[in-house]
Amino acid sequence: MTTGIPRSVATGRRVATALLLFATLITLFAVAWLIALWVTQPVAV
Amino acid sequence: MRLFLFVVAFVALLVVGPYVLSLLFCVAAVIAFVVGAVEYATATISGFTPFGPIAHLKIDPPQPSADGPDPAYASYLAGPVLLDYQGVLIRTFARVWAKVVGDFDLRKSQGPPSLVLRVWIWVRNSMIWKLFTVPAGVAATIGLVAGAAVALGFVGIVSVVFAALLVLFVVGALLTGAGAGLLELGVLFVRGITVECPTCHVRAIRPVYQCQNASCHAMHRRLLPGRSGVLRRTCRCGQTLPTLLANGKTKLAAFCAECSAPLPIRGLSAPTAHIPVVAGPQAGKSVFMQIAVSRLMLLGNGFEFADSDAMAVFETNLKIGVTDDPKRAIKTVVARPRAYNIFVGKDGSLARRLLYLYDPAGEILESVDQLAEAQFLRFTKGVVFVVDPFALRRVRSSTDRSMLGEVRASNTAPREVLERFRDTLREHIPADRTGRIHRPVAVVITKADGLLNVSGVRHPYAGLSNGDRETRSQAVQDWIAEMGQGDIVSSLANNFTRVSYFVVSYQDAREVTQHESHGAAVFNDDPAQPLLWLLNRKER
Repeated sequence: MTTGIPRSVATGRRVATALLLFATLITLFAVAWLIALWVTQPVAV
Repeated sequence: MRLFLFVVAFVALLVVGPYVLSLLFCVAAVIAFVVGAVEYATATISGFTPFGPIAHLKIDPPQPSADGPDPAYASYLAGPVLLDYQGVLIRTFARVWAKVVGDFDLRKSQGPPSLVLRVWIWVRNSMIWKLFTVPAGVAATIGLVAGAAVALGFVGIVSVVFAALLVLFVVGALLTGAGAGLLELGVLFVRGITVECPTCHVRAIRPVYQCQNASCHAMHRRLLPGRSGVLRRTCRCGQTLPTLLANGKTKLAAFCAECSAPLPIRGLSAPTAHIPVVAGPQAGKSVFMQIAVSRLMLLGNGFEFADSDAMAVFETNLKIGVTDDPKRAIKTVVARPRAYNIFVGKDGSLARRLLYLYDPAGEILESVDQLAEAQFLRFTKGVVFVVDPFALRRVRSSTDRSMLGEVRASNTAPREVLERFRDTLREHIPADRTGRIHRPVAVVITKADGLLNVSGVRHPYAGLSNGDRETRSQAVQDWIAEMGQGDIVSSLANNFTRVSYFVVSYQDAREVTQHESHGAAVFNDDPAQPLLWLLNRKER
């Protein structure tokens, strides 16, 4: 163990960082998609 | 002139002002949003640093105890991760607020002024007409606050998505662990793999596993997929331990949960076969076990000692020369019999078995009460019934006393031992409709070396060319009947569904060789053959 910290905690933190990054990308994609939907919605004439 | 300038400025403000103020608002909002995003990223990096502080996570494993929880770290993703993320959020909100809005009173604030404060410092100190700077300040302030709010709102949405992904991940991991555990149980059930304690003879449903770290040796009572880890868990000493048999759990030292005795090495890797070796005192059980194990070892085929005691006993007997002179064998202690564990069959094959050979002292088999305590009998897969030929009436009467002393003839009639054992076995294993017990019996005539030159008594295989198993078995049955003990053969046939007869000698411990009996060549059976025959029988 490095400095008394279990490897399982280190691995878990890396996994959590990856999940958070994935969540951020999903959110950005969702926001971009919603904006695109809103911008391209047909205008009533 | 001054009035003209005032009118021009007023008109410009009315015409261009809304656009300029909107632009200021948007720029300020974008700046605040970027500040919020950067703070979130840096808080995440510092909060999830792999080898960062863990004191706040409260994941220290419990101390080892007799009946408390296992001394293992809780899985990080099953709870402690939320404490780390809580720290990330608190840091993000605090720093975004401090950097964007901050404290309005300059005298109280520490560190650099916030963005809003800077705007109003500019408004206060600017030489530009207040008519222009104040609306600009208001627009920038609203923009900064709105940008910060959008950034924090974005953080909130990301947090919700993160929590959802975390739940999915943890549920997925738990389902994987539970599924793997169930699959493992299923495979054990289908293959009929169990492990029994060789000392107290109970079925070890949940063995206690020992940490393999030589300086730790902590005991884990529930080494299964769960909150401490799905495929592996971390012991309090930092050693990672597998939670599944397929992952290497069989290689850990295991102990009986009831009596704390060590279980066979690599138990739960092959089906067990419990074989008691039955006979009266001095019939030759221990010598038979020694020569049978010796032959199994020489035959190879995946032979392996499964406990250190078995190997120690074998090596001791080898050192004192039991296979060269059976008289050197140490008398079996009259105590609860402990199993002698060995593996036979190629490693990884379906034919591999973990043998439990029981060598109870002959005195136990003479006493009904002591036999009744033999709990291992309920796991019996086959029986080795050892017959001392020099305990048979006709052989005994044809042999001189010095020879009887030389071979240490048993004084207990085999028939009596058989009947007591049969009655006790019936208490543990019910008979079928025909009244017979569905367990194979290998009848082993020992001390065959002593029969080579007894006048008036022939060797069971005298005059027999090698022959197949059925022929040789029949030859021994005929010989027992000839010696006046046909009742033993009848009793065995009436009480057991499958019986086969063998003749062995300590002289064949290393290699089965030709012997001479009254001028004719005879070959005894391989001492390993009774056990191999029992293992190859299918149970009905």
